[in-house]
Amino acid sequence: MKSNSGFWNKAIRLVLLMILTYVLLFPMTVALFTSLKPPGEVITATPSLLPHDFTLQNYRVLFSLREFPRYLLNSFLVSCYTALISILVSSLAAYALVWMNFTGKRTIVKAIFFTYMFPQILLVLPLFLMCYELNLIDTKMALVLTYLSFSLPFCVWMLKSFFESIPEELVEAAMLDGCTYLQCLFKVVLPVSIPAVTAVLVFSFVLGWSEYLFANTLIISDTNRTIAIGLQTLIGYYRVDYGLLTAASIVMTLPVLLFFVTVQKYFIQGLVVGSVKE
Amino acid sequence: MKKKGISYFLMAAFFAACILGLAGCSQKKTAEQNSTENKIVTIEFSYPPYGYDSQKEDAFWKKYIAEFEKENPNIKVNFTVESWDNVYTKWDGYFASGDTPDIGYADGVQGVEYGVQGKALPLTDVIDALGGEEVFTKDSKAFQTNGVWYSIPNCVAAPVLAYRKDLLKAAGFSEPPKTWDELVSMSKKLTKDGVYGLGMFTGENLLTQQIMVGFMKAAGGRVLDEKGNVVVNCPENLEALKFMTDLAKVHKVVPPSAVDWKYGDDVNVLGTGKVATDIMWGGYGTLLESMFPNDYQNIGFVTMPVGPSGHSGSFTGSGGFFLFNKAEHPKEAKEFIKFMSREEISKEWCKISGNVSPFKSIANDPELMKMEWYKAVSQQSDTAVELGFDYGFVPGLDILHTQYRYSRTVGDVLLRNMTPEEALKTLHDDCIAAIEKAKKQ
Amino acid sequence: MAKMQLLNSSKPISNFKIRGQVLLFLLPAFTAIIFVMAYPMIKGLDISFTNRLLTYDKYSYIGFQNFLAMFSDNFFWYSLVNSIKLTFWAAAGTLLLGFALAVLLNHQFVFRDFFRGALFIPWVMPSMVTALMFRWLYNDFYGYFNYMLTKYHLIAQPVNLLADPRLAWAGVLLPIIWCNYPFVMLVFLAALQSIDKSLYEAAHIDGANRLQAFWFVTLPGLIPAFVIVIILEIIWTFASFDLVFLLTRGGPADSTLTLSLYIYKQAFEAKLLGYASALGAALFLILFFVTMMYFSFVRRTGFYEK
Repeated sequence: MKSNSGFWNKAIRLVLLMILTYVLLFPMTVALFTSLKPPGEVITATPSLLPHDFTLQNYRVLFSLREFPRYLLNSFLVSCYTALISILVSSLAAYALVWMNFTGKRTIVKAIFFTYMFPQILLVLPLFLMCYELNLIDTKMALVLTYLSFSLPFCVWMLKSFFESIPEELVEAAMLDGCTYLQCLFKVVLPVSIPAVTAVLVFSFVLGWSEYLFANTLIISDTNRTIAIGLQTLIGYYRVDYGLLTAASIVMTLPVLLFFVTVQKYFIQGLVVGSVKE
Repeated sequence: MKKKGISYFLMAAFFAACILGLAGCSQKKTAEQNSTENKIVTIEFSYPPYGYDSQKEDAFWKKYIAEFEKENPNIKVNFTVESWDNVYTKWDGYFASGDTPDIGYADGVQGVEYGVQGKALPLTDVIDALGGEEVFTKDSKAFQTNGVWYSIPNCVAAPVLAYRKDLLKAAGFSEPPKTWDELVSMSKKLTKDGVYGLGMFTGENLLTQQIMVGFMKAAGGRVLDEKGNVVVNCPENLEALKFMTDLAKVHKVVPPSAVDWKYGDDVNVLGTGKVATDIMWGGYGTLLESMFPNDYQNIGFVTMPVGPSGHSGSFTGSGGFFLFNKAEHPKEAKEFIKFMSREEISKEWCKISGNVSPFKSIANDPELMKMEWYKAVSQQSDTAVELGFDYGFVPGLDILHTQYRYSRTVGDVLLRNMTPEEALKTLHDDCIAAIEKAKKQ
Repeated sequence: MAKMQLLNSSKPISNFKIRGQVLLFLLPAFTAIIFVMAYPMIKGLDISFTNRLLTYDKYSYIGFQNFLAMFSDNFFWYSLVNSIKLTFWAAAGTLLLGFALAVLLNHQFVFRDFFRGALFIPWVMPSMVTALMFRWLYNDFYGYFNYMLTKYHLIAQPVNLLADPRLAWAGVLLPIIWCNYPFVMLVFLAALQSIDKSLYEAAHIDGANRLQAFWFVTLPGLIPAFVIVIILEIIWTFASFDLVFLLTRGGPADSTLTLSLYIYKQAFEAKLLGYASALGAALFLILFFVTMMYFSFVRRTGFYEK
């Protein structure tokens, strides 16, 4: 009797989950099948989900545009730099906030958090001018720095919470052994913080991967565009070429998805201790 | 101590790797420096897309830039396609920083605005080299003010009336509507079974503004009189506004969802046969075949219906080259503009971009006129008005344009339940206020 | 606090040296944040005291006039109310959906990794793709939603959510929730896994049924997650711009005009850079006070010791 009810419980749960997933992924399903349709089938008065004639034409066009792989690579580089530097910088800051004793700590934590509250739309023009003065316009560096400042508050705060959960004896022992703070961070704290580091990595990578507003202003030349901006050049300005758009969105989702699926265990572990355990 | 050294070394190495990686991203700058040493001049060309088919357009620019570089081995052209979303913001940034590209591409009034503000260089000498103002069609007068040209006309376009031949035929019409009255009566008959008689933008955006300006022109209305007084609140404009809003509100021949049309929704609705006629840019003619391979032959283009003034009216979009005031290589940039103004290139440009040539010699080219959309746009151009609505650049009024203020008047009537009289009066007052404000600035 | 004292007492380091180290550790983070945020903020604040227009070079300082004008600007109050409404519903929807999915996913079953991965996708979608896909789905002439609803006679006439001033809110809400739920889902999933399993056993021994266990063990365990997710969602949605901009640009008839959109329109369409900067400062202040009040409320209730 008991095992029976457990089975039904599981079944109901699974069915519910399947329905929800279907509904939530409907836009993605449409995107996937649209990308496999020939142009004439994309916009019709009687839309059908499945293509009448399967074709890889959109993907072929996409990869025949020599800019597309470059846009992908640019996005990848920018996101990677953002993620790696985020980890380094935020772990340093988080370490100081947890293991060092100084006045004004609380204020600093708050101040970092408050940077989220300034509307990004107003940052655009001043940031553009500033990058000009510093000769950073049209460089990936400008983008990396911008994204860094958006990802840091969350990353610092998350690593800080994770570090707080590390047994103090561990750090204490290292310090007694004569480690410097820096050694302590790299040899003791970071190795046991892989989950949190993964979480920070995913968060800051995703942030850089799909950002639109700043990439659109700070990058000028075609060779430096990221995929979120490059998309627009590909699909046109006077109408939306849904075939190309969906094909491109599928191509750009896949690598991130694969990456996430591989590290998701760590990612969630990192969130477990980092953000929600007290 | 040794341990410490290793850890610091690792960290330094990491930082160095980061910095090196980032430095690698800005190779462009060094490449430029090298090229100046070899006396190769690079001109920067900042261009928002004017062509409808972005792939064809891309190929066009690449092809002719390569040809230009072959003819002028000492000049390189660095071509950047801008995004319409932020191109003006970006240019404002350039002006503010003083580090601008050489060539820009914008509509005539925008070029004049930059010229008057000292942000664009006068180009009258290029016009003279191309044969003087006589070689250009009359639309091109918006590119100059008081005899000084601030940009070189390169293309002209206008919204026209597109229609579904099959739907018209099915309803017993052999020809598209020619007058305002016909437009109303025919669209009423064509509106049935989920199909609407007339498609046009009615939301608060650029396209609605353009359509409204076209109707105002067809009604014989104006914004400013000869002395520069605001005359928005005139009977002709009221008639135009009433006509436009009645189509949607009283006759109900316009799809209600047209208030939300964006990103080429109009061409999709026409292509799926859900509207029988549609006011849209003629340049879409270049896209139809690839978008609707089964239906594109059913779509025709004609000039806008004739209004009470006895002529039809539409809005003109135009595009032309201008030089940023801080252009580093104006001489070479002018060479490029002259090159791109050659007859065969201009003709090719019209064909692939969906625009009409501003050169008299090509504007009515028989080969181009075979294309229905081209013919409609070319004929429409005679009765079209520029963004500045015939008055050119007036400080203050430009802000009303970027705000899409005219389209708001349509929205006032359709969505906010104002009467056309009230809505037009508000627009009138706003025009006066904007000019006054700009004078004070 | 205890661990600090322990550390310091066992290894006395001069105050000066610590300060140097602290500086070294915090400097990189601060440089990045100050570089991108502080200068634009100060510049923005400076402009908010001028009558500067976007494309006009001349301007003058006009004191607090922009800030005073705000109080009599109906659109400011209207868009503020809109923003609050949108933020509330978006946060509520996201939280609910994220929470429900986390609860459903928090059990061992065959395809768990697949579902987790699949449900994560919307987070990676660029906002432009999301907006364009939803606009297409909503379309009343060639969109899927209306086609299916009319085909199965669920509605008589096709309705375009975004084109109706009364419904546009819903049309904007769905994509916002769609984009934001994965993050919330993952945080809740993590929180659920962090709940001590022995608490459930204890509850079971005490004779609690599933619902009671959920109410007395699961929910209290999730409070820290709720606290942080709520405030992040509020801040992110309130200041967010791109989705609504790409979907409706504030229309029809200003029905989806949020404060961020109004700021954009004032700055880049009406070219009132000075006034827009003042509005931006107002938005910042509003969020600042909301966050302060929120955290002091949380502290007073004692849910979240920090």
